[in-house]
Amino acid sequence: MVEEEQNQHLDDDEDGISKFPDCLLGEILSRLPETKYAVRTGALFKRWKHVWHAVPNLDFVNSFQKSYNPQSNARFFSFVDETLTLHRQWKLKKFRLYSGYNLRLESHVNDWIRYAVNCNIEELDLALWDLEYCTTDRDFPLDQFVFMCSSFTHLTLSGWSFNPTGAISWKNLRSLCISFLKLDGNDLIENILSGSPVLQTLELIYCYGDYRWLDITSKSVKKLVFTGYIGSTDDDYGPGKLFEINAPNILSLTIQGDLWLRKLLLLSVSSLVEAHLNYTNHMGVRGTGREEEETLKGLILNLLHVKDLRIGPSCLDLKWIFFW
Amino acid sequence: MTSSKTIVLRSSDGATFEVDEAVALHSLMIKHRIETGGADSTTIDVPEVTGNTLSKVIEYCKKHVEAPNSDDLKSFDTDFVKVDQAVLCHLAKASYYMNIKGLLDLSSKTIADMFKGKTVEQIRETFHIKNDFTPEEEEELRKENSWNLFV
Repeated sequence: MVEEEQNQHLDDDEDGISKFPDCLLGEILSRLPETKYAVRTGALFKRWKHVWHAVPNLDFVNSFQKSYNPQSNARFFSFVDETLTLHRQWKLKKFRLYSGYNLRLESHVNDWIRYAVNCNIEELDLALWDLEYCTTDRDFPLDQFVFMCSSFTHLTLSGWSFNPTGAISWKNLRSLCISFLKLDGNDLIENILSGSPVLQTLELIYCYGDYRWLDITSKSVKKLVFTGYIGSTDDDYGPGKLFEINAPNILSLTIQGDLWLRKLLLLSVSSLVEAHLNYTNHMGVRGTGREEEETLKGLILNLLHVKDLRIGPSCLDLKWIFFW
Repeated sequence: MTSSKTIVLRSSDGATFEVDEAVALHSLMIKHRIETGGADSTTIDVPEVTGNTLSKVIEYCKKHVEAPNSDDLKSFDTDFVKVDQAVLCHLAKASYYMNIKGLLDLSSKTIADMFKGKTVEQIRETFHIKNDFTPEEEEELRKENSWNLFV
């Protein structure tokens, strides 16, 4: 009987993909990296015309190069609009959007995010770059409704500005990763932390502005990743550019990327179990290498109690081995 | 030392396989059948899966139950799905019906990777899918989907 089956024409194969139940096809489609591949399957076979509509993940990526081409960009925006019109799910698990944008397209993007939020989205990953950077130098402002979304569990945001008019409420948020956010003082971080009672992982990537310390006393945050520090753009070489981290409850700390500052201090990291240092320290024109050495020594002294301490190659830059 | 209980699994074409209960329980479908089975039935029918495929599924479950932390588990998984598309589809369907999450993840992701980057025609060719749209329906599809032509 088995041999008979093998000799049948493959089109009649009972276990062939053409005979897959819709739910199984949905499992495959939800593992495709971009929604455009899922949409394409609607043209494979009659029965699958609408299967992609039920995929709980939406993934739209407009490449960096393509987004600078107005025609290509317009087609991309049109594709997203039409896909969302057809998709019509009441529940979405993941929504990813990477694209360039300009002021003209701002309302489109806000509509898409609103669609995702209305579908009780859990994981939102949004990276935008301003196509008119040279003239506007502004980040895309996150609409107010985003700050009150209770379905988020994972948020990854790059190239946005945050101006919440009130208290943020992300009651189910477990992981937050923000890149290139302008932070003035610690108020925004405090707002985020007090509005995210179950937040476990916080990652800050090349945030900038007038912010000199991170105070994380939240009991839920256990992992902090600090990647890069630009500081205030008009004060790169100012004296005493000091950054302090106070995080007495975190268990894991990573410091990496390029740090444009004079000194980094860890005020309280008494609960740490693991720490990974792999940053490059740029002290500016006044740096002699001594301050970089002092910073690293200071960090290591503050981390002596840590069970698993790793120091990566970026910290051991060849140029100042000569100073030792 | 107590001898471990064994279960017999019977495929759609009558092939039988004796496996340790712990290995069989890797399939949540079988676990459910055992838990709700009532009398101590030690033979479980799996009518959705042929003997050839069931044998491979058991191989997967054995490895994942008996050596879940082994260093070569990842390479085992990678090699496990280096099979032709027909076998891969059989594995995906079996893992779906038998509710084996790890194998469903593995086989679905492998098939998804094969979809990616191919045109509709190429996917049809790879998976032996018969195009059942009439020429008129295809024309209609092209008109309806002009918005995704850039893909």
